Amino acid sequence: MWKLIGKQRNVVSLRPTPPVITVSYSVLFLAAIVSILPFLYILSTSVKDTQSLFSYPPEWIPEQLFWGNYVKLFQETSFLNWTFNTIFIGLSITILKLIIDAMAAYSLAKLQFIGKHIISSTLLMAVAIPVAALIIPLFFIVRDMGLLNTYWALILPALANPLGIFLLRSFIVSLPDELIHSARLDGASEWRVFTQLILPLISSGLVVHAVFTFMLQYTNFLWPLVAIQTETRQVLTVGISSLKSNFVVDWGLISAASLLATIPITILFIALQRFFLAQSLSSALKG
Amino acid sequence: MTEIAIEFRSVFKKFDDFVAIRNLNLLIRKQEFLVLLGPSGCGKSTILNLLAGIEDPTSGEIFVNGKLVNYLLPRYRNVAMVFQSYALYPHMTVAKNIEYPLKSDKGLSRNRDKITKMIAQAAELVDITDQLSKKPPALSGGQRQRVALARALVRDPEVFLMDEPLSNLDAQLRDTMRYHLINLHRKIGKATIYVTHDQQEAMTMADRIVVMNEGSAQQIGTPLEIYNSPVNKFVAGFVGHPRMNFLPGKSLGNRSVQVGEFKLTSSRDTGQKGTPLVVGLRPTDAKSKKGYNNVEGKITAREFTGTDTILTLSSGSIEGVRFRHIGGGSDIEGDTACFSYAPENVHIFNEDGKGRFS
Ligand SMILES: Nc1ncnc2c1ncn2[C@@H]1O[C@H](COP(=O)(O)OP(=O)(O)OP(=O)(O)O)[C@@H](O)[C@H]1O
Ligand SMILES: [Mg+2]
Repeated sequence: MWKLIGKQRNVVSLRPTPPVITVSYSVLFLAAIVSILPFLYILSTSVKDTQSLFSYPPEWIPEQLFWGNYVKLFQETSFLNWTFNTIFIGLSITILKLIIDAMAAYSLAKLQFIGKHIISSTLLMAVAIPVAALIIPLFFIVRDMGLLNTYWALILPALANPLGIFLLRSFIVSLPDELIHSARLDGASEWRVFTQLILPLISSGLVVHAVFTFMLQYTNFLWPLVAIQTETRQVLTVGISSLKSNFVVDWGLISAASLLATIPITILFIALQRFFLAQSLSSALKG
Repeated sequence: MTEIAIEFRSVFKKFDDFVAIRNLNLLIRKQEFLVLLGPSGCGKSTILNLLAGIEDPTSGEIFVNGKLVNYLLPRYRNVAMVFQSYALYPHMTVAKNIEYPLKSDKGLSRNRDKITKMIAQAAELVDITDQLSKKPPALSGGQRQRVALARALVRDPEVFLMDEPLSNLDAQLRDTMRYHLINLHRKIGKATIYVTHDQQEAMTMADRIVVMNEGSAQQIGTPLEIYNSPVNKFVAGFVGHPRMNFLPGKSLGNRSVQVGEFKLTSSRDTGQKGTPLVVGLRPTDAKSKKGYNNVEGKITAREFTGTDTILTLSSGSIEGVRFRHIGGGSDIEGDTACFSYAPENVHIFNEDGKGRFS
């Protein structure tokens, strides 16, 4: 009885007290300001013309909103192409990667086959190699395959990144073997075990993997810079940075582009945040 | 003529250096209800896994209906199994769980009405009809176990494998389920291997029992054989409640033994005069009056169980021997009591416990 009450006391004492709440909210508030300020700054810059950009004192909200940057972005640059390329390549990579990684993860986690150990340690070594070290050999390989300057040049190398296999494998390893045995005894083929049992049971892992893959691709800069030369085939990151390379830096234009570029990823994040914030929280709680 | 459904022929299973199954030879008839009985870790589940194809034998052969199945994938073995851990599909409703094994039958999967009826029947049998739309995580342990049972019973397999399928049910429900399972078994007559560590459950349900210990089958026989003629100390001690008394003794030759100050005559061979051996006396075989083979002592404890009283006796050379006295009894601690044994109830074992005396 005493133990029980003691336990309840413990729980009560874990509940934050008013001063703790005040402090933590202040910290969160500060962090929010720090992260939102640059965003507001480019928002403000994107609706100013070049003259008022450097006016003193700086004004956050210009007296007259200037839409010229946006007009210029759509009329004089390949911004729409870049956006399409980025999303198309990002989605292709995400979908293909989910399929490949989930299958590889299942076989590494639950199937027995010759060479499994070697394959899995090779993959692990591949994770350890920094991307920068890969760029030059990758360039030659892709060039020799004749794929430079194509979508394939961006899609194929990304598929070879094994990190996602390990992420999904850890989800699959935690599923009890008996489930799989039971399904096999119930007459399920290996494909049905995979699609009807494994995939639904690791759906949260798949979402996490999908979001991270897409985000990583969305912000990828170095490799597209190397692999793509035609301006209309370029992705957003490289495209936007190319806007400043003409001796004069058009900050208004770049701000407008940057602002628009954040929209798709923000939508994705908001749509799925509940899902994978809860997921990382619950896996954190499980320890 | 009795047909053989399953045969294990010199099957061994090792996990690294650990021998989980040691030289298993076992024939199971069609329509037989075979119970694997043994303490935790003796290899009961491993035997089921070998038959289901979840584990491969290290050596030896397994036959189902005369066909070697060592290399057959689990899904082609047509075996329905209730897992000790239930292994319910957590993302599917109870109804979907029960339906799952039916899905691989292409002809059936077009007949929606029939499937619904089969699910309802299986659910009815284990009394979970009102849980069909829930998912397993929302069920209690006993309910989950019943879903696992229903998922096995919905099929029409070659063999049923049940790994302690009633372990999580309350006493009353377990009794009804035992009765249902035996009835069902009589009706459909498929070979069934049923695992339990409850000797009473084994006794009431089995056609034959395999008593297991540390990976080897100690004795295979009908409940009566196992109870009346246990082949060694382990079997004798595992089957029957309260547990059999084991007393050290010495052969007097001519089927009689000296145990402490008592001389007992057995219907079993006792070997050469002077051989040390172990005498087994079941508390429940004791007659509470002086007779032929008498054991006498001071009562040191008494446990009243309702229909009878278990008395613990000690005498000069033997201590803590228990006897059943039918009824309440008026004996009190410190009194002297005397019990007698018919010769066929005096069991004789080797001193090392490894076998029956012969
Ligand atoms: N995959 C495995 N790897 C290593 N050892 C194993 C494995 N499976 C079972 N064993 C061992 O084999 C022995 C028999 O296990 P098994 O599960 O068959 O016991 P059991 O009789 O079913 O016991 P219980 O009544 O507790 O379920 C145990 O000692 C266990 O530790
Ligand atoms: Mg077991």
